[in-house]
Amino acid sequence: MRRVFLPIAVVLLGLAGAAQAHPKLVSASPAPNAMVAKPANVTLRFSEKLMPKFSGADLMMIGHGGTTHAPMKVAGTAAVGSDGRTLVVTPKSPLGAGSYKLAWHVVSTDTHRVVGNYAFAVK
Amino acid sequence: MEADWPLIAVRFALYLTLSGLFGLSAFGLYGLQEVERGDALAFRPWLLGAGLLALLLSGIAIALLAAAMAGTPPWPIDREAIGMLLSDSATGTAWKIRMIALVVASIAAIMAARRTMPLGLVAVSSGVALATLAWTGHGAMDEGATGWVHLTADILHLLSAGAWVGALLGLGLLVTRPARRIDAAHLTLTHRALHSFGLVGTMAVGTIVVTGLINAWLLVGVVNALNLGVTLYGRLLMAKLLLFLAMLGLASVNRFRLTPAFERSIANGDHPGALGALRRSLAIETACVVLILALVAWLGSLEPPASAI
Repeated sequence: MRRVFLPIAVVLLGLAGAAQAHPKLVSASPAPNAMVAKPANVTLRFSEKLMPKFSGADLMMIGHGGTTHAPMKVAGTAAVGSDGRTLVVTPKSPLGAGSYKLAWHVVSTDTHRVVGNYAFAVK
Repeated sequence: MEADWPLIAVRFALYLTLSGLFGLSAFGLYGLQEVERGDALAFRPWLLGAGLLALLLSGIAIALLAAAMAGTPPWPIDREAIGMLLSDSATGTAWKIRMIALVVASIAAIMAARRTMPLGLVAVSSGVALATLAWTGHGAMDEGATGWVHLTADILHLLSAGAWVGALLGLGLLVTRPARRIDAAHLTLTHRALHSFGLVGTMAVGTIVVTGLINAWLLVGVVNALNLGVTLYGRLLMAKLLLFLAMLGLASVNRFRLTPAFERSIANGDHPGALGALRRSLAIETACVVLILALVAWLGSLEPPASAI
């Protein structure tokens, strides 16, 4: 029985390892909940290669002058960088002072869609 | 995130159908002689039916997958998302290869009733179709040499499992033939088919274990073992392990106890009891493998916890 059980246990470990290889947000600039001076763009780094056509992000302004308001979409583009793991959101015009929410969605080569969002503020 | 049950269901059906198609055609090649095939099993309807069903399921699967990836509802069908998926991803290319392979397999199945050549073509092309499933899972995500090793391991894993599933279908059809249609020739043939699967089945199990070891060598994290019972993913995997062990046990009983007993019973002219025991054992083994494939379809769709930093 041991001859059978041990390899199978290892097989399972292998599968469990595979399951954790979904895209994760590794780092972001501006970082979540950060207060930054006018950023030219928002850069999100992921743990896996992304499928460019299924990956993107919406940037919304959710407040300014100390008050919050209904999310207003910020015009801009989202594109996957040349390393395949970075999502770069470039607003059409520089971001004004206020608070923002970024909602991103990415699909990695394992076909899983992962979504997330976070907020940051511009001074 | 909610489990995508329609996609899981279609994937489960696709695993079952492609495994059956590949495994049954291969079983016809190694388990039966050319002269026996026509009488032993209704290969043509089974293979053609499986081929056409797999084409239909693949069509549904790509639409559901594209919708899941684009974050849109599955209906109305999002042609743009399907186009993006097909034109610009390894998964899309694998899908196109699968469709071509299935068309070839279905056409060959029409001619394949007993002749070795078309049956071999069904086996090869359905093997290709089964192998393309590796690109829909985690096997396709590593890069470089590691990626190829992982993919190769996944493909061999799929083919070995498929050979086992299809053999269970073939053997199941042989042992469930109505009593009035069972003659001495059929009994001899059934015994020989069971006997030849003994070797192929052992090879399949060996390959399943070895390819699993390769996956483990590539991806293993000892920490994962300790967390296995904590997550839904881990618990499903443990269920899969238990079912696999049950299958191994039943396969050993079949090979070392029931098949020799069946041979003796044929010699004694008293086969119904031994045949009934084989029938029950194969039925339980088949139930186990169906559950395993359902678990695989579920496991493959499990989303990781929402990414957050």
